[in-house]
Amino acid sequence: MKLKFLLPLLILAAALVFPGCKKGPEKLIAKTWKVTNVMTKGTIQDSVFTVLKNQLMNAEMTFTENKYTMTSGGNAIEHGTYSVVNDIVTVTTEEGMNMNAVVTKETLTLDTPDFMTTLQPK
Amino acid sequence: MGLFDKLSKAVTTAKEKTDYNTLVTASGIKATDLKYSMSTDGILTVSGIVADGATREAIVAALKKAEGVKEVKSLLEAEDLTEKRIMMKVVTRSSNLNIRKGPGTEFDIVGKAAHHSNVQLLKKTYPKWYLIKSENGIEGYCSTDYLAQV
Repeated sequence: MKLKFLLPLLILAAALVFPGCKKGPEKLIAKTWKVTNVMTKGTIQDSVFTVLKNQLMNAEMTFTENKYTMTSGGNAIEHGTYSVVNDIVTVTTEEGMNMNAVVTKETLTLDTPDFMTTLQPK
Repeated sequence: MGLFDKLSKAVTTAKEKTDYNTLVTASGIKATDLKYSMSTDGILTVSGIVADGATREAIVAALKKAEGVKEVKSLLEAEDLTEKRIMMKVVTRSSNLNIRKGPGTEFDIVGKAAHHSNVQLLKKTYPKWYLIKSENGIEGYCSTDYLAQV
């Protein structure tokens, strides 16, 4: 009898509690990420690109309070901003280039028409 | 400029390489395997082998029209025609033809090609100056005004 009474309550509690556990992109992105891959869209061979890609592969990005800082070897090498509107994250470089960000607990991808950068939590 | 911005610029620059070839082809120039390198300050370097000096000048003129190009640095070389054994006739009025160290009258004379003799064409280096080899083995530049195809 007691169980019969408690079961709907437990279901209701679970429904209320689990959505609360799901983190939004704003919370998910706010940490330090390490670049794990940089891919260009198409086959591009360029020595400058290779050098920049190698620099990126050693970089870390820290997102906090709508700003990001990129560091490499402990030195700040880039900074910019990010915004979250309707769960859509946009990362903007200091030159104003927008990158569409898709963030999960395990991966952050920054997408532009020319290249895509993948990061994982540090 | 940050790394992402530099990367974006590098990718765009690389993409433009295709456009440079398109630009050259659209200008009616037949040239293959040209290589391009764009510096961050807008200096486009082009290298490769072309048929002659006129083609080289046409390529440079075409590339100067490309967006973002401030200057074109040409490392283009005229095709080596030595193996083709193309002969040309010296068509001066009566005198011998000066063979010079470089492509212009300001360069020293290194020898002479006899009037009405044949010289071997080595490279069509410049529209007005060809690299030749005389019958007695002197190599240098001669004005195309005094050379005719055999």
